[in-house]
Amino acid sequence: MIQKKVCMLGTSAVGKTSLVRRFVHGIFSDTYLTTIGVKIDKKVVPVGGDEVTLLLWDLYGEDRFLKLSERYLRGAAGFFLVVDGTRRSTLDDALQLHTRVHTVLGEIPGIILLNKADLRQDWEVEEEDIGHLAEAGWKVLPTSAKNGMGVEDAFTNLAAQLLDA
Amino acid sequence: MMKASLIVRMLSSLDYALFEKGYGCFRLLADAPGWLINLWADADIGREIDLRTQFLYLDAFLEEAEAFWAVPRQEHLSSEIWTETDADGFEWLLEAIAFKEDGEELLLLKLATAGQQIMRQVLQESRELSLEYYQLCQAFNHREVMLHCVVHDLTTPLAGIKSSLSLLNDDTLSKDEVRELIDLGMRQVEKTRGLVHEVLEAFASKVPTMIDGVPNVHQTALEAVDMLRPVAALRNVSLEIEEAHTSDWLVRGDAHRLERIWYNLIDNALRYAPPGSTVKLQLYDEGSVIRCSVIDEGEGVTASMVPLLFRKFVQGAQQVGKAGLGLYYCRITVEGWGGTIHYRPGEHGGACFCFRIPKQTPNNP
Repeated sequence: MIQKKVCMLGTSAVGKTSLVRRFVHGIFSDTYLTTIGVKIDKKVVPVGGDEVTLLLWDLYGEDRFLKLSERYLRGAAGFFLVVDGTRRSTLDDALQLHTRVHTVLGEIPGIILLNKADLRQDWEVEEEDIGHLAEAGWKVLPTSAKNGMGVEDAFTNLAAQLLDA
Repeated sequence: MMKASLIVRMLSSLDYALFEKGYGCFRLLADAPGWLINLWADADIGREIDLRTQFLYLDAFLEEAEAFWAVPRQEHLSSEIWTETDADGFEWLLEAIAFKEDGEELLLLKLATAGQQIMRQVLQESRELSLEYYQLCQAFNHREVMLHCVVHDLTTPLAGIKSSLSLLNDDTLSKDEVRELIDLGMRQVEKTRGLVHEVLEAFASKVPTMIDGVPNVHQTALEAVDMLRPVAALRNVSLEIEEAHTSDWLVRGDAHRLERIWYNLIDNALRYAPPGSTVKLQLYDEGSVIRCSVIDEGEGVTASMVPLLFRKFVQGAQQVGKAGLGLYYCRITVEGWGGTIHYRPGEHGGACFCFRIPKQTPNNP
């Protein structure tokens, strides 16, 4: 069985834990509980005729209060950069975080998840921003941990990239 | 020198779980602390466990620990903090320490310190406060936009009323022409009332995405042109409508807001159109959408302004006294109906603002 470590990255309260909970356990809670350190979950994902076990490292959100320890990143095969679509600044933070992650992990598969797609009418991240990300070579997917939109697809998509890598 | 057994009991009473590395697994050396039993129901002194499977985080940490144990040294190796959730959903913050004693490879698992627990509470509260602050800022910003929209909506039709009144000064006007100008002025007043109501309604749900009625995009263009004719006359600018023949002008959205989009774009064009020139409106049926353009013969928009045009509070060079919300309103409204809006330079100079709105079809109600 192929096993791959995937890091959930992004600033605080963007929905990293909620995405993992939705994907692995199929549940969602509106209560915000900050993650300390890391929580690890795993799920087997079928990709084509193969199966890959994703080890999901749900890392604490980096913000002005807490910086991410690079030690958590070691051995990661892929990552999600999670952004809260309703807070434009979380996209800038995520991209900034990625430059640091890139120096540790090098070039590995990664996807930007624009989370909170259920609140699309309140998004501050605009089509223009998404266009720029696509131009820069990013795969960008909208997700909603709340209603599940795009969540399964996002993880399956990354799993497929990991198998191809 | 304390007895080894005493040290082991002491560690247990301090809520530490001490393991000795064996072949392919770890053996618990002391009584299992309560938290460990919550996470590993079979935990008991002397029991062996595959820690890598039981605690996924340790799979990674033990690789580091193996390298640490392989080299003789005195220090210990600490892990980062990780979280384990028990069957009741309670989260335990844990930390691992690898060390070596009398050649034995040992692993200590312990709960995060009181300091780390306090840090968690402080982080939780500070992040909640940060989010609340952000939401308050958004709400404040939202109110500011609403205020500016109301001001904008009150002042823009006033220009039309003022123009109608100015034209009434012309002694050569016939009775019918006078009546027509008064009628136009009255309609502008009614429009102002309607617009203010509309803005309040729109911002009550933050962004106007309501789909109400089936507006005729051609009819709304005619209405807006009618409203702005006095303004155009004062500026000596002609208004023309070019439309491809179609009977299918029904689009998504609602008539009042569509008319206002036309109004904002035409009003904008008239502001920049030189005297003696023409502001042209074009409507084309593109199948599933109607493409609408407003083209003037002014100097066009500078390249540096183009990316900012549809953002709020952006003002053009001649927009003195304007809130800079007209184009922003057009964008959020058109996008709310599933359409698009953009700017491009006119083919013969000037500016061309173009928006596309999905047609009203049985499949696209």
